[in-house]
Amino acid sequence: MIMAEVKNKNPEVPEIQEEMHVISEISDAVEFLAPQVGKSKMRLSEGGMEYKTFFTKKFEERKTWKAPDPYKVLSHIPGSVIEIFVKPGQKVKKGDKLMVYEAMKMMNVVTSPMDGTIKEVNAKEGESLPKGALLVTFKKK
Amino acid sequence: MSLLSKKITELQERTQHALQGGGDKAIAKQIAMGKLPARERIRKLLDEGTFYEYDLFIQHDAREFGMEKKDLAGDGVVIGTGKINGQPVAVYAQDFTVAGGSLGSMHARKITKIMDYALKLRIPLIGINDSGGARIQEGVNSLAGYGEIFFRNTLNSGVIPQISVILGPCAGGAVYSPALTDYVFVVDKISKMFITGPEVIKSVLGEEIDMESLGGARVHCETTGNAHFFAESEEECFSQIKTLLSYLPANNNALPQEKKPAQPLKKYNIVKTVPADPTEPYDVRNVIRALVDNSDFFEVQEMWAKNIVIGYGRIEGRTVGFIANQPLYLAGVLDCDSSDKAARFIRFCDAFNIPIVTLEDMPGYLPGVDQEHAGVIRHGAKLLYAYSEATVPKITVILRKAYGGGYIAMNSRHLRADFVFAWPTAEIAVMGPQGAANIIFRKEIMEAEDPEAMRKAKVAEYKEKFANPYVAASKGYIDSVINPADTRQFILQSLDVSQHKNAGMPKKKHGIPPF
Repeated sequence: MIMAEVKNKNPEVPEIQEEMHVISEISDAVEFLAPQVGKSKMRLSEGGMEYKTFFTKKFEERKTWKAPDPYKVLSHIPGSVIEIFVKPGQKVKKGDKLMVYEAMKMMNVVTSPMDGTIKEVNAKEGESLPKGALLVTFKKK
Repeated sequence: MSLLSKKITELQERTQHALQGGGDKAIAKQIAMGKLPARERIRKLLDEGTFYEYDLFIQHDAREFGMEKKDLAGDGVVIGTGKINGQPVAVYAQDFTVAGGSLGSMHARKITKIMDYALKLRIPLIGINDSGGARIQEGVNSLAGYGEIFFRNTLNSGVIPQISVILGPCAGGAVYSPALTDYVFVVDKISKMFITGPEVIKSVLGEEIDMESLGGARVHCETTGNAHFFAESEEECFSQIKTLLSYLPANNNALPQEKKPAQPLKKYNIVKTVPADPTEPYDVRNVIRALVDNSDFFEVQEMWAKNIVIGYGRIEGRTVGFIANQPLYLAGVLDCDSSDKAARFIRFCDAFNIPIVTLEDMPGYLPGVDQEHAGVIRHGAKLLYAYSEATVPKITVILRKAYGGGYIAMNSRHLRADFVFAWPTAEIAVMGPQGAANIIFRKEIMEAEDPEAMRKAKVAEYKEKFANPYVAASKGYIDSVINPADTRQFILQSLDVSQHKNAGMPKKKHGIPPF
């Protein structure tokens, strides 16, 4: 018998009422409640051991890691673009000024990470941007 | 009228005036926001008739921006002593009805005074926070006040239990007092905590977020881990504080009050709770409930890092701190948050003479780039540090999986556990059978005619030989393999013989934990 009293704080946890479940019913309860929390199973990389379990909110919302693209210059902090010094097609050297980017009351100078050619300037002067926004794209070598 | 009566009448009038706080209008506004006035909160929190207020006639000392003409009753904060569960406590409550509970120098001086009393008297300190923040008119004096509070929070840490109750806004620098205290209580829709509020975030960074999503009670209980207890109402919150204090001693040289011993309830059957198959989940809290008096388990931080469970229970009337891997969430793995959560709890228990019982059932550390980049090495080290450093009685019961680094971290013999017990279902091994067999028998599996069949055979072979408690038992790493049904008995006798435990640490100013 699956008794799933829904509590406010922990809606997904099967609450034990009166009698304890026998072992097989506990696992059934977990399977049964699974749709409420999405996937009920997780796979650990330890040679394919698979554990039946709930995910936490944080785990479900985690970001999958992507290798950074070396040809893209991203904002390192939320802020505003004050002045842009480069144009598409322009050749720059590593360390050359690309733009002034204001964040936390500081005028940060964004410099070129490499010797190369600007493919595209993605940011506009005066624009407010979040962290990780695309500022400048380089031509692939 | 005699001179004495006149003087007494004057006292009564002055008292009446000061007790009005911000006046009827401000109090009505406070109530309309769903909040109780400061003194009402203290009355509800403390045992009836035990509260004595001090510094009622304090006046603020701001002399700029027209402040000299303002009368702020008690300067926006109420301080005093009283009792909870019959035990003395020191308390302060910021009064939002007086200048928004803003903190000026005299306001801060009242708080630091009661903090000093709490330390001197060696009694728990409870701070009710409900303040708009620094009183800007008082400038740097207001900052100085915060600094004096934080400094005392740190001095008091580990000497007396310090509890913060967030019953309104607590923003900017003010949040660091709660952060330095041991337990933070929040109430849904009432508590708001953040360093920079939505308006500043919007103007500086262009990110739009409302107060509740930024730093509401739920956020701090589920996401940040800054808060420990979530309540739906102020009344529920006060009842949680009373329950918590019932488990704690008054100070680091005292023991928690003992309660009348009681048996766990029959409905919690330890043997039936835990499936023998190590991949099947169960709620480890029901194992704890099967071990503690009356099955009363008081969980701490139940909404954050759910893959580890921490909290208090009693065994034969005496307080015990429990730490248990929770197979119901993320298979009970250790990760950044769960290590952090458990480590702080261990240090609290150790500081306040509360024995620690660890229930272990975890497959290891959570794999993932996000974990590695979030510093799982550093966070995981906190757990090792806290267990190693703790000198209170430390008992471990291994229920099922104890693999790899997690086996060491979860209060193993090697970190100076006093007693380590294992159930017959325990698997104490360098890693899970699947992984181990794949590595050890790699060649055999690759060269076999039917690799899958060979893999299965080798996993079974490894399981048979190593996935049990007897290899560790043969080395003395565990003290006894026990019948699960006898777990309470074994914990009880371990606690009994540990009463005079005296384990030291090398003399040092202090250690350097990885935080």
